[in-house]
Amino acid sequence: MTKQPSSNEIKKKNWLIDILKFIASLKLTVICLLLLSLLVIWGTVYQAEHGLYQAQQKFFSSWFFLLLGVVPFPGTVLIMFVLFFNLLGAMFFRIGFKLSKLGNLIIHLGFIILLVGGFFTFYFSEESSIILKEKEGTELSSSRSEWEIAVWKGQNSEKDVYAYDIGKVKTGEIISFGDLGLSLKIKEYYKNCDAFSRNEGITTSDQVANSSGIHLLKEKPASSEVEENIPGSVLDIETSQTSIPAQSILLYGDDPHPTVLKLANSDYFFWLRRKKIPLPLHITLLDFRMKMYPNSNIPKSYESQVSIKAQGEESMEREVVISMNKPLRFKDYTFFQSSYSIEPDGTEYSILAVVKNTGRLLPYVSTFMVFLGLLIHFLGMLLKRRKVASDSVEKIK
Amino acid sequence: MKPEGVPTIMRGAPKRYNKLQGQNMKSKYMKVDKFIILILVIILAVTFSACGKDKGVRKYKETGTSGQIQNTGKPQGGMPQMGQSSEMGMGHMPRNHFKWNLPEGWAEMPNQSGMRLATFSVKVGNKEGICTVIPLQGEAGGLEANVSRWLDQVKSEGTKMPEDSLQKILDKQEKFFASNTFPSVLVDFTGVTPKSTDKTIIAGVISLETSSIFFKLMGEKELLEKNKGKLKSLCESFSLITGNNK
Repeated sequence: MTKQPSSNEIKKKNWLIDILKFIASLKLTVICLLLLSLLVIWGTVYQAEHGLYQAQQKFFSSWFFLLLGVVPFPGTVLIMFVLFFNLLGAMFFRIGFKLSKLGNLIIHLGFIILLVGGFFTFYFSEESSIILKEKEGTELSSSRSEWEIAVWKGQNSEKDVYAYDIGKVKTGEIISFGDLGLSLKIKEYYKNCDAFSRNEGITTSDQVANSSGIHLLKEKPASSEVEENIPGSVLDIETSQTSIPAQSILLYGDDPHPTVLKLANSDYFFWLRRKKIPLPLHITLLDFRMKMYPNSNIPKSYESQVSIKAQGEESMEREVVISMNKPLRFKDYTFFQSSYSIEPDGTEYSILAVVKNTGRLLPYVSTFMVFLGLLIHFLGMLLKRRKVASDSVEKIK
Repeated sequence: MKPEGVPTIMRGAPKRYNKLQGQNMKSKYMKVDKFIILILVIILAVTFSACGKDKGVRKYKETGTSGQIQNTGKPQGGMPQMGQSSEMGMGHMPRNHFKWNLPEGWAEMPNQSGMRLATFSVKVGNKEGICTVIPLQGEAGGLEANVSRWLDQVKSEGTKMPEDSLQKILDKQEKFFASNTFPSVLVDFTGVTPKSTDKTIIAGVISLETSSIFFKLMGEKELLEKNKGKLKSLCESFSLITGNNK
């Protein structure tokens, strides 16, 4: 005989069911969609005054933000997560896994996949750029807003670079470059600062090494356009070898040179620069072409003819044309023709935007599933109506 | 009568949902419960693991000369986004939005001030002049105000101050186009300073749409006279890194 649940057990489950009912409810879907609409409008208006980056961070990349500095308001990330569970709940508790609801189920699954794609893009996508003049090639792209401390040893043209992303470092933090046998302790770090040399008249007692003669950093307010911030840092070099005296090094983001130090008879290079992202291919600009509107200097279109070479499992070499609406896609990377530059002497530079997105195919899968779900759903309804109509005719007969 | 604590049956819900609230609650409900908790745990784990993805030292290969100079006039790093003018954010203009060809014998020095795009050292024999590149926007970039300020700076004993109005002084200066596009003027004060050792100024001023770029060369009169042509060629080579060079 089946054991009946006790009154206490039923009570315990009651509140959980109420929560699940709310999570799966259409009411929550509508609330989420209204909040998203509000955030889109609010973010667009905010962007006009505070810039794209600030608006993106506050409204679209946050779990919540403070309204008037006091009241917490849900950000897009939180709403998307709630919407994800709402769709998941709806699938389990409102629609159910029945053949008659197959279309509806697939539609919901399609939207869930779209949100999963958004999750991957939010956490794992990387945007960067490469600037090439004709006949020049690279296998690295540069981030627009993120910075790294790059350290390497020796003067070889092909080198192993050890890099640490400096975006979230704090004073006192120790960065250990184990393979190089040294650590860097953050003594000072500024997200945006000015650099001064000795002949600027500002002196300090601290002795710091810098190849360009920079002697002092002065913090200044961070720009709302994050790409314009130039970071700087003073670091203490710590090594396991007692023969090497302790010394400090100053690194500045706009410094045209890496700082070189001789440690234990080897040259060590230290450079604070825009974060480099290794690409899965070597890309060389063969030719940059531009078309103008007739009788004007206004560009109509521009494109880059590039040679790409990949090694490893997908080894290949071929020529590709990247134009404004025809990006190059390779693995998780997409290369867009973003901009260009022509020097007075005629040297042409092509500027390519590089986007790495591991979930780039998910929106396509999602769109197809929603289409398929709608098709099944409406076909099912059509057949059902026809059956009802034919049954009615049968009854009349 | 419905016993207290028993939830209402959800109208329009599938049978399996309503069954949860009846006798089969324990068995079927618990299965769903565990399944949801499992999904929650997986999602939270992925979320938090993703949050910490930037930590740690990365290693990659790079080909190129060690110590290769990054800012050799070749554009690097950040750039204006598509559809944006390169004159965005003129309050602080990133150096990598502009290019120029450095004249022979001139050397770039470390940037000594956040206001400057660049600083160059100009040497002739044992004498040295300094050329600064400063962008200014709005009224701060007004030519007359700056020329007036420079006149005050070069004023010394014996200086022949021009009697003309500022506008007339400016009209007499050499005009040219930077990058064959931007109207520019070369303001030369070597004529007002009598001695070859007097400190004076020659400045190339390039007018952009909403701002001006000042290439200001300061040093002794003799050094400046010898480098006037080079300053002009430096200004002429100035160009924007943008897809909107119209």
